[in-house]
Amino acid sequence: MGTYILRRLLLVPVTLFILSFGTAMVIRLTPGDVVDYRLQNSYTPERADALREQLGLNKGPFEAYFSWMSNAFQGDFGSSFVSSKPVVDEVKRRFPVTIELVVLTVLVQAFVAIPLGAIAAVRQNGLSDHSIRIMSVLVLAVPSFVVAVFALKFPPIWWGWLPPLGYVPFQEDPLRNMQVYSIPVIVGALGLMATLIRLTRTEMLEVLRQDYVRTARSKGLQQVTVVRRHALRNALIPVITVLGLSFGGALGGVVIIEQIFSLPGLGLYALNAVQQQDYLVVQTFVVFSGFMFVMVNLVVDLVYAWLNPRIRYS
Amino acid sequence: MTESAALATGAEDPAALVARPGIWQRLGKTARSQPVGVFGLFLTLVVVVIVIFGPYLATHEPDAETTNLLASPSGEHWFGTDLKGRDYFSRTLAGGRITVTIAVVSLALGTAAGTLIGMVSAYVRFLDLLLQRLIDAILALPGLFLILLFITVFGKEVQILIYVLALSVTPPLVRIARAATLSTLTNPYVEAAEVVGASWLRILLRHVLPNIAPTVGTIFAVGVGNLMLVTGALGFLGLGVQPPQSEWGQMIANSRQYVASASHLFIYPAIGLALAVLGVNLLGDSLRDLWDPRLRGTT
Repeated sequence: MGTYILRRLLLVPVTLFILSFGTAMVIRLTPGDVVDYRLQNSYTPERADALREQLGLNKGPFEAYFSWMSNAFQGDFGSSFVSSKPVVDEVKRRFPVTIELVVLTVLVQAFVAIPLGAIAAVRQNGLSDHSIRIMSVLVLAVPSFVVAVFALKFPPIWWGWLPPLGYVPFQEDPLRNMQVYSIPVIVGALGLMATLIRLTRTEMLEVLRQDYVRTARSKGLQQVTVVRRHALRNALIPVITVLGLSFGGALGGVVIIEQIFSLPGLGLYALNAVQQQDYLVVQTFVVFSGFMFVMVNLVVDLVYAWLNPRIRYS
Repeated sequence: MTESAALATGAEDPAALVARPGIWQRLGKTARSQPVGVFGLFLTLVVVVIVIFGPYLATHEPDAETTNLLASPSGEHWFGTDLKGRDYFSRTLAGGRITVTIAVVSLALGTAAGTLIGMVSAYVRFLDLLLQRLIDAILALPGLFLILLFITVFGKEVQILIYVLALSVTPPLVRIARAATLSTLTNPYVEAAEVVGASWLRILLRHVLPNIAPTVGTIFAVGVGNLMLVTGALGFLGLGVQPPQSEWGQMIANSRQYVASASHLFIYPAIGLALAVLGVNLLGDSLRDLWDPRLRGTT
């Protein structure tokens, strides 16, 4: 186990290098650079050259990348070309916005989808099973941006209630913060829920056929106890894995939600940086989100092995 | 000689004497076992008709501007008109055509590329090490970010969108095809083929590909709907198909301000996208049940 973890950890720098190097080279292929964006009206060739010199844009792509990398090893990821602020500070400021969105979305998704999946399995082919399955198929088909437009536009018309917008940090005003997050979280969770419901149902169906469930029933335990203590616990092992992996994916996949609800998170930051060709911001974002993704996946794999002792990594 | 062979099989397997049901009977039986899938097939066929015959079904030129702005649905304009007085029914048809085409073509390209690369990667050791590190890296990036990056660099033309979306679906497919190939390669018949001197290409195409085809086919069937949603999401963010060409996601984004005053602008492309995704998802689920041997006979 120790060597397995060590080998996975040794691959992390390799992955991050390929990732940041590839991104740095690809984004420099874009026609034009950030200078056009910054100078817009006051553009003269002399000013452009001076600004390029100042931002270090006159270096070749390799030179630029490796000087950024050697600074990054010392914790200096450079500054944004647009705002001139250090990228690390901006990431630190925006990370809580995104992580709160992701954690809340995954939690809501889990707390709704797992019970629904379990009920569907226990009542297999019954009315609740069919309605839960139909509902999850329908929900999966409606794009989250359509749901988001609905959630933003129709409540004011129907009930004269405007969903609160404008991000407030949790430590400043917890209630307001929760109100701002409520709709984005529900919209995000809806999109991911269907897969989890289906997975929980399939796993539960399999577990409910096992001998130990029959044993538990035959010794006279109540249905609720059998389902909760004996079946669900075992069925949840793969479900938790998938939930963990979706957590890693959701970290970067919240771009759309952040954009629609104008939450100042990492996804929006990266989206703008790509469009403004803010090279160092893009490179740092890639390293940061790649690192998070790899570590979350490693933890998920280890938790899986811990929950299911039959799994042995080598 | 042939007679005795027939007799021999007949003697061993009495079931072989009973005539095999015709193709229509078998299709009918499958259809009855998958009623939801048949509904999905119906919706999918409607989508296919829109894609192939859309331009003939359109009542107006989709990009033609008139002075009849924001008209409600009527006999003349079935879905009303938009901000520039363009017939919304024709634009919805044209938009669906492009959304679906981008999704299907890019998924097909990505699946084919991923399958080939995955098979080769499983077979050629030194290549495998390099390729898998590259794929680790790509998979560590949020999928949508990868797409955004490439679109910004290479432009928003339909062709480029297709290539970029294909690129985004390739890495996971390489992983799946590679794993399926590795497990197929352990079979004795592959070893036998190697012993008689079959080339690696022949082994991969004749012995491996047919075995991993159901797995890959299932991924494709289940993935079409998702790719339609991604195409729509790009259009919605303004990063997909550019005007005047209409596209469902882009139409939904442009109708945001008029959801209350001209709700038809929002509703038709939204329903179109949802029904198309629903149709291919239902069909895909049924096909998965039919193709995946582990699920056979469970429901």
